Amino acid sequence: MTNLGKQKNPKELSPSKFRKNKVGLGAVNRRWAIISLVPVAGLLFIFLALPAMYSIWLSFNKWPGIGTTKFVGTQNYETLFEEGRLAESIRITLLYTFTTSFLIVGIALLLAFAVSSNMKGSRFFRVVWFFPGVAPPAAVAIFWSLGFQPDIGVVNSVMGLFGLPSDTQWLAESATVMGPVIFAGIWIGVGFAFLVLLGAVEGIDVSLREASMIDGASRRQQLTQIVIPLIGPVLFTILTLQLIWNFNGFNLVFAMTDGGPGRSSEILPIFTYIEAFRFGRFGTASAAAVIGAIFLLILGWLGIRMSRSRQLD
Amino acid sequence: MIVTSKSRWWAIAASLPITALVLAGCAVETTPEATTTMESSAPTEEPVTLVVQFEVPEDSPAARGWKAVADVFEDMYPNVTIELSGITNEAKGGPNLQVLTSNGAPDIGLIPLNSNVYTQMLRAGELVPLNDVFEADNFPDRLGPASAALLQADGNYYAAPNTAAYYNVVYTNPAVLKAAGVTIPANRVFESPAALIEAGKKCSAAGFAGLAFGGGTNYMSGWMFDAGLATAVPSEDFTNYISNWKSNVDITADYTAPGVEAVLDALESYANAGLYQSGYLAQDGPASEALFTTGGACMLLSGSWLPGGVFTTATESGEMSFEPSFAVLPPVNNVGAPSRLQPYYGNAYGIPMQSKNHAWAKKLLQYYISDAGQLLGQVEAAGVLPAVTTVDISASDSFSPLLKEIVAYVAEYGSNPGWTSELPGALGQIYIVPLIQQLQEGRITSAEIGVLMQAELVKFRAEG
Repeated sequence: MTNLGKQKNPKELSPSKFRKNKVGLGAVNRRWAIISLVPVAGLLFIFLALPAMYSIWLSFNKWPGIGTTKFVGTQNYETLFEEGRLAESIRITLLYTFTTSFLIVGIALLLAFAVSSNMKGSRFFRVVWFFPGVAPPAAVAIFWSLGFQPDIGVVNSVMGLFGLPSDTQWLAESATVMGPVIFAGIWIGVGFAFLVLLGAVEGIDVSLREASMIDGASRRQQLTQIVIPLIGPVLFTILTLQLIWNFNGFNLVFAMTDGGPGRSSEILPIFTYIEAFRFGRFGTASAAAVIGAIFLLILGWLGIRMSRSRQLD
Repeated sequence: MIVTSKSRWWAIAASLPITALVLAGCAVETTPEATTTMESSAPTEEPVTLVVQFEVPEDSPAARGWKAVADVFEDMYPNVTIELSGITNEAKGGPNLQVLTSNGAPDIGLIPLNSNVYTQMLRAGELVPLNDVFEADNFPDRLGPASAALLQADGNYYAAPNTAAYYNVVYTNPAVLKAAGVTIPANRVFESPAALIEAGKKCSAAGFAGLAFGGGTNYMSGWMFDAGLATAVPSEDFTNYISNWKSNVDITADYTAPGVEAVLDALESYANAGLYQSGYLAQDGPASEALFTTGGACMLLSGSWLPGGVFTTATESGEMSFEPSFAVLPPVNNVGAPSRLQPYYGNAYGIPMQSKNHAWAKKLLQYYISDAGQLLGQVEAAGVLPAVTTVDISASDSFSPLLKEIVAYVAEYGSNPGWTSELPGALGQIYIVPLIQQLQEGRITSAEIGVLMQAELVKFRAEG
């Protein structure tokens, strides 16, 4: 709809008159766009920029959760690096994040390729494989915590059937605790990645895959030489999202292990939570959160960069 | 697209209230000074709704106790409505701090005395003094020695415990113990860590878990440290261990002392000998309780709240088909006091400064801790021990014989203060439990924990 009040319809104005009035279609649109963005920008500023700035500021202060803050400079960061707990937490976080994310994307890609290749029962699997993705993380955590219990858990029972060790105390030993956590993370994360990648795989021109089949390409060759290169941008986008989500994967890990035993599954979000809410050290918790945010920014930047370069290719 | 100037202004006008609402939501909270005026005002006859926190689950003894008290209080004061607001065990010692100091604070908050929540609220002046509530029915005298720890340096009381609990109770399944060939000593105290380990081994050989306990919780390993510490160090040292976190108390007992190391060594030996159930480091209290109530374990480590809680419900549901008895953890060595149960008065209630109905909240809290309120709420409705000593529980039908036995045992033998229930959580159980878990896995030594504990104590005192 076009109406400039008392002005003439732009279509009726000659270009010279239009310039003279300095009221162009683009100028009005721009002004209106800026005005329309104000509430959204305000909300983003209040709910995103302000908390982030406050968190950075808090990381240079000592604050027990209430009352006044006390500026301590870089002391919180120094404490974190001196004690070594943060370094260990980052190591665990990176292990969890990269293992879970790469396996999620890898498995989801294989599933998407299989379903898009019209394998037997693909309609059924198209729905079933997405189901775990809609389950609440806390429920998944309880489900798999029981599944990995040494005496009553289904995992040890199944392993026993195959003659494998069936007395492993999966969640109770620091050497094994990350296994179940990563497994549950993959179980809950594959569904969404599968759905996105399936859309991308099915978006590939059918004739390309048919032509390759006529040329004698195996399924593996189809996957590695046609599908993966063509869905590269989507693949990198979903990988970046998975890395970010798993890096921040508090709910599942906290509900399964509480960071234990003995801090052996204390990923960075759990570390931050414990520092803030159990020890009342919001300053060091904020410093840990800032360090985590820097990691995420680097991850995000790399992901976007790789996704763009793939798009250009 | 071009929009009419009129509709543009409508759009701008429409966005203003949204922005205003957001800004209002983020507005600075009411200051404590602004609300303290409410404290002095007397209860009015106007309709008032009091929000009271309790620890979930919904059928917990705390919930049953508050419901019973609330019903009677609402009958006494028809203008008062009481809403119960459940919080989790995890939340009460940490995130609840933000709730209690917000302008949406409940009228009566659940504040564990050994938590960071209590420490920080005291420091920030975010709790309403309860001296008038305490003095009204002479609560300190009725409470007994436990009241001393409640009195703060400024001469005020800020939190009122509602129940006394004893922890480190080793519940036993007599039939299973008999089948395993284990005999509990007449005084109920295992003679030594070796005797407890031996009992556990016999249970394992008979196909049962030895001692079930929630090793994955962030407090139960700390309890066992409590039980041993009082027995392993001279009493004057123990007194210093439970008070030297205060900056005005000199440090005369060091955590690198042999007694502390001996306690930790005992905990390590329990783990190495397979005393606990399989996978205990990943199990919480309810999981270990379920193992015991279904007959899978000889013994269970827990507290005096089980007979009126889990044991009752498990028996009613048919899950538990035996009458449990109880024993006491062994002394680590005979340097300190004899091994006893530990009392806990920690789940106290206070009135946040930010709450809106101080006068009515005080009135409700006063009733809650009165003899009548304690009898109704704790003894009859919840089936747990009252905080006060002036309620006669011997004739109560609400208590199981087992709980009466525990009370009689404590009356005869006494109790030892618990290190984790006396120390602020950030220095006590929150700090030591992950270290004990590492010890039980063989990833750290007792001596190393002692050094870390001493350093943490110095740091805690320095930070005030």
